[in-house]
Amino acid sequence: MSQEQEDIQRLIRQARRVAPDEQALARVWQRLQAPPPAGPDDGGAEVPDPEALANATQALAGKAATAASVKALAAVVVVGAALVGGRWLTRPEPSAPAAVVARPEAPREPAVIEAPRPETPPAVEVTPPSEPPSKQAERRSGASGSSGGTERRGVPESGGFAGSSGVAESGADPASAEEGPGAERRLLEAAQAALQRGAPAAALASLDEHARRFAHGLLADEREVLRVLVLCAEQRPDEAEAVAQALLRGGPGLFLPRLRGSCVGERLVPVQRPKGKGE
Amino acid sequence: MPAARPQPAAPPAPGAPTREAVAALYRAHARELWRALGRLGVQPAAVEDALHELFIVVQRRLPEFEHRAAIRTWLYAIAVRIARKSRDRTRRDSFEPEPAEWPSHERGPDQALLDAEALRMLDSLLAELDEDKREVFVLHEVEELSAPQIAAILEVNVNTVYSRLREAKRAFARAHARRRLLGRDVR
Repeated sequence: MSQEQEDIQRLIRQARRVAPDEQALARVWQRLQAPPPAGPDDGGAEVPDPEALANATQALAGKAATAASVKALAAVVVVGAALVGGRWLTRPEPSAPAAVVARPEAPREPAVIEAPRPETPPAVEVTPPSEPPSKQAERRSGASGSSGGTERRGVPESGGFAGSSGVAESGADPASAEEGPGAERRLLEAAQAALQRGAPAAALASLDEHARRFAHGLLADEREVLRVLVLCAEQRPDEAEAVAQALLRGGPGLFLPRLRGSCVGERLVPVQRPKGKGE
Repeated sequence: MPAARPQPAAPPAPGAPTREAVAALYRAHARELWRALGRLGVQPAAVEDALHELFIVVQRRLPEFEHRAAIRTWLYAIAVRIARKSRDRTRRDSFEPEPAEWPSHERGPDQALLDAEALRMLDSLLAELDEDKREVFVLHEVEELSAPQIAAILEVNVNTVYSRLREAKRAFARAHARRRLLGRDVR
């Protein structure tokens, strides 16, 4: 496991260990002792109907059971064919790989709380994803600015994280691979420094070079944020706005706080007014 | 304090008085739901209210629950929807989270501090995922729910869960690598 993957796993392990504030839990329980507020809805949360959820769970289990039956049948057929073929050839295979049925991911706990049924675990058997990587890449909609390049490349096995190696491979152009990700960072630092010393043209040149060499690099989003700031410094607000809008379209709005401080901040976000007294 | 797994013996008996049933559910699941709400994007200061809201819904809807679905699945389904609503509200109110820093290992031996930093970092990485991927990632990786359970919670196909999970893992790894490379200097 690479250092990067270890770091990710460590983060996740820590997240699993998170303990809530016990006093806060007690406070919530105290509040729950009061009669629930009247109202027909669930506060706008569109909570799933328990009945519908049960039906969905059972439907999934039913589909999975069908898939399991088909798989088992296919396995029997294949094993039978292998055995018969072996007899014909009077040279039995050392092993019968066809007999190995892809083992589905076992549910971590039964999906249905009911009287235990012997067929429950296989009932939630799920066909592992077998979609070709190209199809998955196609299916990705609206390639986000934060991950534009990666998604168009090959998809790693679903078992683990892509890791830094996969990311680095997919993030950088082949021509720049020799220089490593440090080169990406240096270019952006140069652009940042040029912007700070009041040389937006030089900054733009660095950004363009980054765009040429690391079109889908790890720092592609950072480059575009800087580009907005540089275009603002060059008094080109319309172009800056176009770049900013493209950034915001591509992701969950992480760059908004930084863009809000730019010359196009007010064009991007309507001014937030305090709530009126009547609301 | 290890709080990863709920106590298994909590599902209320059918027909049990709602108050006792809700108490049993609260004892068994409040901790993990607290954690899940936080990772699903409810702001730390709002988790308490979100948990309260969640159990208000449980109180209201539990009598309809017929024990044909897993109660834990149902609770998570409610949590996911409350978290969505909370994220919407946060966006509307234009909340700007504090920029997270990469956890420093040079700040002394205070493990709690390091854990808190790591958690903040995790949340900032999760925030870089699209919402549908974030939900699948959190439910699978942090809450350790199975794909069929997640499919039922999100009301999507199981293969959709797998494909979102693959994409989420890729996006998460990329965000992680990017953050590591970026550090705090390029701002």
